[in-house]
Amino acid sequence: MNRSLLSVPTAAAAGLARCHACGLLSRLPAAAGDAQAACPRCGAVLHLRRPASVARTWAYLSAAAVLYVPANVLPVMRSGSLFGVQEDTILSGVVFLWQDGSWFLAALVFIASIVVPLAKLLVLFFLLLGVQWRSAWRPQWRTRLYRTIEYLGRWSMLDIYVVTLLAALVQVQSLAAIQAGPGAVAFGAVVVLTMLASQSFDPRLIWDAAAAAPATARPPAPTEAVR
Amino acid sequence: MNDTPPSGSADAADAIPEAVALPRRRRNLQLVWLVPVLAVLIALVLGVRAWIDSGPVITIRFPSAEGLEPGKTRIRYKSVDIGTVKAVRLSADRNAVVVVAEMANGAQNMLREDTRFWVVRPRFAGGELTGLSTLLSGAYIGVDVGKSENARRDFTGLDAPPSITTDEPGREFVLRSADLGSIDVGSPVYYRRINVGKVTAIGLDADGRGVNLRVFLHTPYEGLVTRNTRFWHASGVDLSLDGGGIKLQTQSLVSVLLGGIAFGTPEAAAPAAAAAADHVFTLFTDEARAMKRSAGEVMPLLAHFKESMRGLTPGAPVDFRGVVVGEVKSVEINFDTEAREIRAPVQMVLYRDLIRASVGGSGPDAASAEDLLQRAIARGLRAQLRIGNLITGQRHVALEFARGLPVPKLPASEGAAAPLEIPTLPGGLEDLQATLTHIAKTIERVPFDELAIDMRAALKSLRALLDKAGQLPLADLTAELRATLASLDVALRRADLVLRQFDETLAPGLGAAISETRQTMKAANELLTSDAPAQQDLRNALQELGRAAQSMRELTDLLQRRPDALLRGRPADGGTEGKR
Repeated sequence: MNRSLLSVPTAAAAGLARCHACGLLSRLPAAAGDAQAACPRCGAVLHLRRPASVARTWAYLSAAAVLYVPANVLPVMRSGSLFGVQEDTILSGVVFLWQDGSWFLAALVFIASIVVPLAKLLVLFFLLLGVQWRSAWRPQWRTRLYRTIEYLGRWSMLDIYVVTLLAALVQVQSLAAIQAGPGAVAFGAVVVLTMLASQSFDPRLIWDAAAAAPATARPPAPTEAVR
Repeated sequence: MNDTPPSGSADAADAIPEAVALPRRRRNLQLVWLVPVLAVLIALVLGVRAWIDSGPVITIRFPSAEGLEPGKTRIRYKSVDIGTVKAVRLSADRNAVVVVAEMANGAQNMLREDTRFWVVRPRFAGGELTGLSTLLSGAYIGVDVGKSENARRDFTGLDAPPSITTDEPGREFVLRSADLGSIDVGSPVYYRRINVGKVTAIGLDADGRGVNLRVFLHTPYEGLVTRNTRFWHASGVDLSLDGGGIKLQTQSLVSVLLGGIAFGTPEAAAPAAAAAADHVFTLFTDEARAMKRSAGEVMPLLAHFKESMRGLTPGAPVDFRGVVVGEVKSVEINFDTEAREIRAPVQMVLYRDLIRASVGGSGPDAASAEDLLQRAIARGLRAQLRIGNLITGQRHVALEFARGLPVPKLPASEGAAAPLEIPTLPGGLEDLQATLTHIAKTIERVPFDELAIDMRAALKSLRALLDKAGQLPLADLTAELRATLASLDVALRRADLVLRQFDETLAPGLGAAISETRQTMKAANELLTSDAPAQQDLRNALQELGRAAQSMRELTDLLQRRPDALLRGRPADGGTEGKR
C-alpha cells in the first residue's frame, strides 16, 4: 500500500462539497460548527460525508442482527398438501436439498441465504468498529471488503424470490398450497436492513481515520467534519 | 479551507460557487434509531408468540418407530394437530423407541396421567378397516385424552388404537372366561342380536388360569346389564350334542366370522339394579349354560351309582318323567370302605322351582324343596341312569317312583350343608344288559367246537358206511349164489343121474326131499329176488341150503359107493343117514 496516498488533499480538507442531488461542487461557507449549507443550484442540503453515517449504520445493523434470529428460526415456507402441512426454515431447506443429493443447490442456498447475510453483518460490524476506533489498519483491504459485501448483498434475496414465486405459482387449494412463513418477512427485513446499513456506511470514513492516524505527526486534520 | 489549493486551478477554485448557508438547525433525535427499536420489538413479538405457542415437550415410548419421522409426524386429537414429533431415539435399554414430541400450546390439559397415545396406521380389526388415510400421508400419532387429575409428561404408547375413546359415553364391564375362543379386541357385543358394544381389551389372569375381557357398551344400552345378566360366547357356529340331541346355533354372520359376545337376562331372574361399571361377570361358553339357574335357585342332590358311568357327563340333564328338573354337576368314582365296593357318587343340582312345581305344591307357604324331596324319597323316589341317546350313548339321570321296594334307610344328613342323598335303582338298561349277558353266557357255554368236531366225525363215519354199502358185493353175492347154484346144479345132475340109476329105488321120501329141495330152491329164488334187507336171511338160508346140499352130496357119494346102503344102511350108521 502506498502510504503517500493517505496524505493527499481531500475535498473535505479543501472545504468543498459536492451536491448529492445535482452533483454541483460548491464551496462550503467558512462558518464552523454545526452550521449546514445548501446547494446553490438545487437547494439540497450539502454534506461532506454521509450524514450520521456511523449512527445510521449502527441502527440498521443492530436491527438486522436482531431480526437475523427469527429469520433463521421461523419457517420461511409453509407447504400444505394432501399429506399434511410442512414448514421449512432456511436451514431445513438446505438440509433437505443436501439429503436429496442436490449438493450444488444446497451449497448455493446455504451461501446466499445464510453465509452472505451473516458475513455482511459481521463485516459491517468490523468496519464500523474500525471507523469508531479510528483504526488505520489496512484501509485498502477494508474498503475492498466493503465493496464485496455491497455487491453480494443483493443475492441474499434469492430465497425470498423463490418463496414469493412458489407462493404465487403453487396454489392448488387442498392439493398443494405454498405460503410464505413469518421467517420470510424477517429474512427479507434482514436483507433490506443490511443493504441499508451498507448503503449508509461511508467508506470514506475508513480513509479519514487512516489519514488521521498518522496525523499525530500532522495536526491539520478536519476531525470535526468527519461526523 | 485555505491551506493548499492546487496552484494551476486557482481560477477554477475561485469559480466554485459558495454554498448557501442554512440557519442552524437544532439536532433532534435521530429517527433512524427507530429501526432497531422496531426490529427488537418485532423480534420480541415473534419470540414471545413462539414461546406462547410452544407447548410442553413430552416423551412417548413405542415398541417401534415405524412410520415416525422427526419434524414431520404429527400428534392429532380428533384430526387436529396438537403436536409434532421432534426427535426419535432409542431408549437406554434399546428395547423401545422414545419419541420426543412438542405439543401445541393449550395441550397441557390434555396430558393427563391416563392419556393414551398410539400410532395410526392402516389396520384391520373387528371387521373395520381404519387408518386408510395414513397410506398417503404417513403415520401419525393418535391421542385419547384421559380424565385423570394428575398431569404427566412421559407416556408409553399403545400397540393398537384403543377401540373406545375415553370421552365415548357408555359403560365398561369385566368378563371372566376359561378361554378366549375366537374373540379379539374389537369383537362386537350383541343384545338380542343388536350390536351394542365391543370388546376393548383382553388379557390373561395373573395366574394364567383364565382370561379376562373388558367389554364396552354404548350409552343407551349399558342399562340393560343388571347384576343377573349373563354373558356368553356368540362366536361362530355352536353345534352341541347332548342327551337331547343335536343343536345348531349361530349369531349374526359377522359374529360367525369374527366372534362375538352376547348377553341377556334370564326371564326367571329377579329384577336387579343395573350393574356398576367394571362389574365382573362370567363369560359362559354358550347361551344354554349362561341361562342355567344360579346357585341360589338350585339344591344339591347326591346319588351313588354302582354301574358304569360311561355317557354321563357334567351338565347332563336330570329329569323327572321327561321334564328336566336339574343337571349333573360332577361324576366321580370312589371306593366305599364300609360296603367294600366301588361306587360312583354323582353330584346333581335340582331346580327348586321345578321341584316344587312337579313334586309338591307351589306358593310361598309350600314346604321347602328339600322336605318335598325327602318325602318323595320315602315314598319310593329313586334315581336311575338312563340312556338318552342310543347313537351317542349319552346318558342322563332319571328320577322315578319305584313301587314295591323296601323303604331305604336314609343316611342321617350331617347338617344342612350335606347334600340330600337319593337311593339308586339299577338302570333299565342295566337289567336288560344283565339278561342279555346271561343269555350270552349260556350260549357261550355251549361247546360249539366240540360239537362241530363230533358232527364232522359222525358225518365221516356215515360217509364211510355209505361207501361200504356201495362196496357191498352184490355182484359177488350173486356170483357166489351162481357158483352155489352151479354146484347145486352139478349136484342135482348127479342126483338126477343117481335118481335115474335108482329110479325105482328112490324112495318117495327122496322125491319128497327133492320136491322139498325144489321148494326150498324156489323159496331161495324168491328170496334172491326179494329186497336187500332179506339178504342176511337169504345168506343164512343159502348156507343152510349149502349144508343141505353137502349132506346130499355125501348121500349121493355114499350111494354111489354103496348103492346098497339105501337098503342096508351104512355099515356103521348109514341107516340113520338113509332115514334122513
